[in-house]
This record gives sequence, structure tokens and C-alpha cells, in this order.
Amino acid sequence: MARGHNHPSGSTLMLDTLAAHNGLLNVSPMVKTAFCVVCLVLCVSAADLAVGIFVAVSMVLIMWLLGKISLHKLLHLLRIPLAFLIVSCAVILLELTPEPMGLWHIPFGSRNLCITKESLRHAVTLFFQAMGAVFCLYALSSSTPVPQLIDVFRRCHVPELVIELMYLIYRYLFLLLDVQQKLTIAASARLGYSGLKRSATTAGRISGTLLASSFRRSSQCYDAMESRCYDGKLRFLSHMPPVQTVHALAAGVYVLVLVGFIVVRKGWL
Amino acid sequence: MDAPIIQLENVSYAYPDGPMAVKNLSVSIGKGERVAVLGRNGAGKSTFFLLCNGILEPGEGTLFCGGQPVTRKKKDLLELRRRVGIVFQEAENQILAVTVEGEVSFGPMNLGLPLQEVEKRTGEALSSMGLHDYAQRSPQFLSGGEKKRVTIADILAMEPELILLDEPTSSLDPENVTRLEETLDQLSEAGIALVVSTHDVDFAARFAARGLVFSHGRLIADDSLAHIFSDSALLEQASLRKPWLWQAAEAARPGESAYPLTMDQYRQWLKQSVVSR
Repeated sequence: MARGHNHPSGSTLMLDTLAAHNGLLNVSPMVKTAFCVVCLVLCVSAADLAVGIFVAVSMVLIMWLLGKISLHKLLHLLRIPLAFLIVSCAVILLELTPEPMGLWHIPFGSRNLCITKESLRHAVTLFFQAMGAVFCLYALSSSTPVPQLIDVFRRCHVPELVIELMYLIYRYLFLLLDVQQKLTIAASARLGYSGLKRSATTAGRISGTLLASSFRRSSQCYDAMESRCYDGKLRFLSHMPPVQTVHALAAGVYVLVLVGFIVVRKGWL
Repeated sequence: MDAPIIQLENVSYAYPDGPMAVKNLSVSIGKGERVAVLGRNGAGKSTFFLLCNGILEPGEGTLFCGGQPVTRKKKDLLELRRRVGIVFQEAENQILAVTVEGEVSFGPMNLGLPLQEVEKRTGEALSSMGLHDYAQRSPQFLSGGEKKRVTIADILAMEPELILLDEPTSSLDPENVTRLEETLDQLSEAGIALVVSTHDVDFAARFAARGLVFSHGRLIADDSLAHIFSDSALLEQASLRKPWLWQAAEAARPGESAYPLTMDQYRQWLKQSVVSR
């Protein structure tokens, strides 16, 4: 078997492994999904610095203390969204003005690159608002295996076609990655990646081979499905942890606190 | 006598835009039989399996299941596929669901059984393959041998009378081949007929008494393995070699008509040779 076959690397696959061993695995995925989606919506629509920080910190605490994910792994997970966030917030942070103004500025050609009080506030708020949202989604995806998540969608009456596509894509993603990995190893063993031009050609060829092998494989898979009486509908047994009152209550209390916090911050009382 | 589970009568099949894959094939498999299917790559073994399960429709000839001709009607095909299951060579191409339990339940679910019955059968199939603790695991994290057992449990949950295994030993290490042989014995004891295609003649000799030899789409022998391995012309035509045990015995005492195929037969054969001296 190829290297890494049993322990695929990369953050999508890492989430998969984390979800399989998560401390919150026996909490009903319905509760987890509803909880995370509500928190996400509240956090984004509040558009408030303190609310963002509150949600981000509490989600980290949930993942760390209840989900038993080490802080080190959380930090590792954060790398990709953090890079995106920093770049996009930097764009908002900097303003191009004819005159030097604001908290900080440098000349940039004939104009000036400035950070104003307004843009700083805007960028920081956006950063934490987005962080809160990112952690909401991580809290869901690090504690709920994809099969359970798909089951939640099924119960929410997402169209059958979408559900089946999700199943099959998730299932064959790993196979495709495995084949790709083997092809890449075989290509680099024949010096297919020496030099930029050759690397590009090799990568192209590998994609082509991958497509061809996907076609071949799909017809074999279809034969195997038919031999087990497949009639156009994917049906499997699935066991979902039932909703427990304690979990629903805890989620409800948190959401109430969050709503209260938003109300106070907005000065609606 | 009971009707054979499956019977092919003068069946031919050609893939679209391809040459004849199976020509004029007549063969029948009875209850509880153990049959080895031999022949080189592309000889028609896999096509034979797909025909037996109704995935491919015979171009000519008829397929009978339990004495009844099988038509392309949905009801007939469902019945055929319930009674005859295929364990495919590549487990990865067969495994579909994202949990082991879901995977094994796919067949029974498609048979339209009540949920309780599906759960019962899935549980039983998992237990008999020693996979009960793996029910909620993802198949992609299992080893090769475990995946093979999942694919057998897949079919077992449909409670078939005949299981066709397409080169089950090809991707297994020796330890898992031994486990597979134990599993096959267990299935035989449960009264399930087994047809296994293989390139490993030593394995075939241990496993079966009856052999089918394919060459260029034709069934060139349907006989006991002892007869097959004593026919040098046949072996050459199908590019098969004799099992090592057979060759060793032949080297020790050339000129006999047949030699031992299994270790038990070999011990017996050794005793005889001592007595005859």
C-alpha cells in the first residue's frame, strides 16, 4: 500500500480523523449542526468585535475541553483560513488616499497608503467576525463525521441526488487521492518532476490518467452496485446518536447567553 | 435431484466493439459445490462471473437459476442476484458506503427487506466475518485483508446460495490468504456453494475438487482437478502449471496417473509409498 494510505495527510483528511475520535461523537449530530449553524448566523449578523471574540473563544474551548482536540492540532487546522483572513483584512485595513492621513501612512507612488481609525476598526471587526464563523464550522466538522453530516442533510430533506453525490464524492475522494499519490510517486521515480516545464507536463499527464482511471473505475463500481441489486437509490443502515435533553439544553443555554450578549452590545435594551 | 443453482446453456457473449469474450459456454453449479476457475488473464473468467449474476446479458444461449430461465425482467434479476453474489477482485471498487455497517447493509436494503431484518442480517454477516467491532469504522481505514472480509460480508448479508469470488487472493498477504481459506471453509459448512477464480494453482488445489479451465473465451475443461493436472496438453493450452505438491510427488515417483493435491492427500500418499516398499 502506498505511503500514507491509512493516515492521509492534509487538513480535510485530518478533520476526518479528528471527527472519528472526537469527545463529542455521541452527541446527536442534529443538535451539533443546529447549534453551530445558529451560532454562525448570530456571529456573522451581529458584526461586532466582542461577539466575534466571544464566539471564537467559546468554540475553541468547546473543541479543546469537550472535543478533546489538542490546542496544537487546532492551531494547525487554523493555518489555511488564517492566511486567507489576514490577506483579505489587510486589503480592508489599507486605504489609498491622495493626502497622507490617519494613524499610519507611507507614500505609494503619487498617492498614500494609510491606515485610518475607521479602517482599523473595520478590519479588526471583520477579522474576529470571520474567526468566530470559522470556528463555528470547525466545531461542527471536527466533531461530526461526514457520514453523519450527510444523514443530517437527508433528514432535512435535501434532494436525494445531492445526497448521493455527497456520499459518492466523499467515498471516492480517498481513492482518487490514493491513485494520484501512487502516480506522483511513480512519476517522480522517473524524474518527472525535474524542472518547472517537465513538472507541468507531468502534472497534466497525471490528471489525464486520473480521469481515464476514474472512468474505468466507475464502470466497475457500477457493476458491483448492480450485482447487489442497486435500483437507483442509495440506501444504507445508519446509526445516529439520539438527541439527549442535556445536550439540547446546554446548546440552548449557550445560544440564549449569546443572544443576550449581542443585545447588550448593541444597546437594544 | 435438486435443480442446479445456476446453469448456463450454450451461452455466448461479446462486449460491444470487442471480440467474443465467452463462446458457447455450458456449465452448471450445484448446491454446496466448491469449484476453482482457472485460466490466464482475459480468458473469460470475469465475463463468466458477470453473466452468472445477470450484469451481462447473454448474446446467445440461456441462463437458468434454480431450473427457471432468467429473463431481463426486474423480478428475475433480483431473484438471481439474491441467490448468486459476486465478491469482486478489487475491494475498493465494491465498497460503497462510508461506514462498514452501512456498506454491508446495502444489499439487504436493496432487497427491500424490513429494517429490522436488515439490521439482523447485517449484524450476523459482520459477526461471521469477525468484523463486529468495526461496524462504525470507515472502510478506507481498514487493511487489505479486512476490506476483503467486508466485501464477503456484503454478499453474505444477502444470504446467497452461491458466491462467486473473483481472484480473492490476488491482493492478500500469505497470512490473510490463510484466513480467507478458513473463511471459505466456514461458508462451505454453512452450505453455500463457492466458485473461485484464481491464478494460484496451489490455492486452487487446496480449495476445490472440481475445476473449470477457460482459454480464449472457451471452457476447455470441466473436470476434477486431479484429471486437469494430469493432462499436460490441457495445462499447456491454458498456460497453467502443476501445483508444487503435485510436482514434488511426481519428481519422487514419476509415472503415476495422479498425485496428491492437498497436504492431507500427500501424507496419505507418503504412507502408501512406505507400505509399498
